Amino acid sequence: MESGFIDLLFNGLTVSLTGVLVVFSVLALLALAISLIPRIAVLWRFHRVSREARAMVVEEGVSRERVGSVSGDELAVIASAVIGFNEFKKSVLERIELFKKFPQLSRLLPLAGLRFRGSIRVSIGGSERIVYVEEAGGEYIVRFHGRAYRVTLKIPREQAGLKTIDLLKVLES
Amino acid sequence: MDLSTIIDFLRENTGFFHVTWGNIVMILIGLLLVYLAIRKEYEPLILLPIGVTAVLVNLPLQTLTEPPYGLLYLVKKYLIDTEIVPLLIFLGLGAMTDFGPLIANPRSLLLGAAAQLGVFTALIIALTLGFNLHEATSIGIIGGADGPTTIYLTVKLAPHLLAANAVAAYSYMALVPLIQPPIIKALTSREERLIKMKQLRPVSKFEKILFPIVTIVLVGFLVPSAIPLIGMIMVGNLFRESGVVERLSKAASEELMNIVTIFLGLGVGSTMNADMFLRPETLKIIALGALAFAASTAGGILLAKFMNLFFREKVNPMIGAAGVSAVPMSARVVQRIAGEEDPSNYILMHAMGPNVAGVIGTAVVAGVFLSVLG
Repeated sequence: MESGFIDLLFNGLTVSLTGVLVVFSVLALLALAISLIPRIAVLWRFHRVSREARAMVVEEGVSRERVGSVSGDELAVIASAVIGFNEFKKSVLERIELFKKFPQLSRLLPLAGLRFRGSIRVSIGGSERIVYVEEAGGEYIVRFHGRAYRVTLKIPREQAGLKTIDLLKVLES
Repeated sequence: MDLSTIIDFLRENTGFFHVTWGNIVMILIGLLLVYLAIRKEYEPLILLPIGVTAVLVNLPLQTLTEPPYGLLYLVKKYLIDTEIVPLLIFLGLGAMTDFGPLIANPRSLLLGAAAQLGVFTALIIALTLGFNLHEATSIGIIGGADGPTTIYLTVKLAPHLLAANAVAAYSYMALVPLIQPPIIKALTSREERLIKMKQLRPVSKFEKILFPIVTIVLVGFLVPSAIPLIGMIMVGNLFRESGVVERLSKAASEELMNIVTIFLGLGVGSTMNADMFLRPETLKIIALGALAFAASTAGGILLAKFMNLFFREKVNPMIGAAGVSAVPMSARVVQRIAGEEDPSNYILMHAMGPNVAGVIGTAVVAGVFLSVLG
């Protein structure tokens, strides 16, 4: 009777311990997977942006070989940084009532010698980098890992309001 | 027709001569549940049908639970024993639940796991009180504070305890506002209760769509026996988040949910006859249920405090208490206490993360129990 109860208790402890281990392992793995979802979202966004960029290149007849000079990871960082930089710029301009009402006026800022620059924190695939982005006469200078890239952002007139980033015209400076 | 014939007729055909003390006690218990549901609004959606059905099944000479065609017999046999109802309730829950706070703060999942402490505590104590392992696990799962999961597991492992376990689970879920505050206050300092948490980031539609898919695949591979519960809640959630099957989402969260809740109440209530319910074990289960709830609350809080030792961004340890998956009751309790300490402290959404994580945690624990003992 006594040993039967001890066996039962031992079985109970085994089941409990198994339960604790499994529930913590499964939920920890799930937490890990969930924390990866935003990164997947960024990659998905990048994929869409770069697909649009390819379409643009074909239209303009720029050779595809240029892609070779910039790796996929670098393209991801550049695209995310430029997107983030423009979000930052937009949020700054929106704070000023004049630009909020007449956003086109912001194009005149470079004429007044005003240029935006900023450091963007880009996190892709679990690794985080600080990327420096600066406006340069209708282009962007993107710097990270000791290298600098010149990025062109085009807004075709026939697609007013539809931004297309020509990543394949990225030139390593 | 003489007087003795009339008395014989009455004796055979009215309930007065067939009623037992057990029936009377159970009718009173049923009426108490009805009172709590109507007057105190304690989980009325489930306790009202359970209570009134408990009255019905304890009326002498009733035929509702008689095989083969008694309505309550059919409901229990084909909807509860087959586990269709608890699983459909999970489908509806999924369609009603926003997992956004959990996705925004995945650490919440660990708090949901810690809040299963009561399940294992109650399991071990139940064994020492003379329950066998199957019964002890079905009692322990009450600590998960998840009614459908409790019913699902009890039907599989200890069907004779269904009424006591279900009543305990739903009663304590209703009593969360009374059970949790003293435990929260005992385990946290005022400084900890005043901790303000950074606003949760917005969660994109893409993330919300991917979450149920990732969960189904991950849990499905790791704990296949949890898939009926996790699968149903995630299917319901995908209906909700996809945005393309609004009719299905609405049907699952409203019409279907209402219908299966009625059947759940009828089915559980039908098991509340005096022979099954009026046993010393029932009192032990009620006591163990309270202990399980308390231990689960403590588990969540203690892990939150432990996490604060390592993470730069401190969490308000009270949100750990919301890992008890009484959704959204325990999250509201946490917010109420936070508001009492500092009216400008809003941690409801932070508490919703562990709250919905607790649902997943309890389903995983039930899956583990089923794979080990089922």
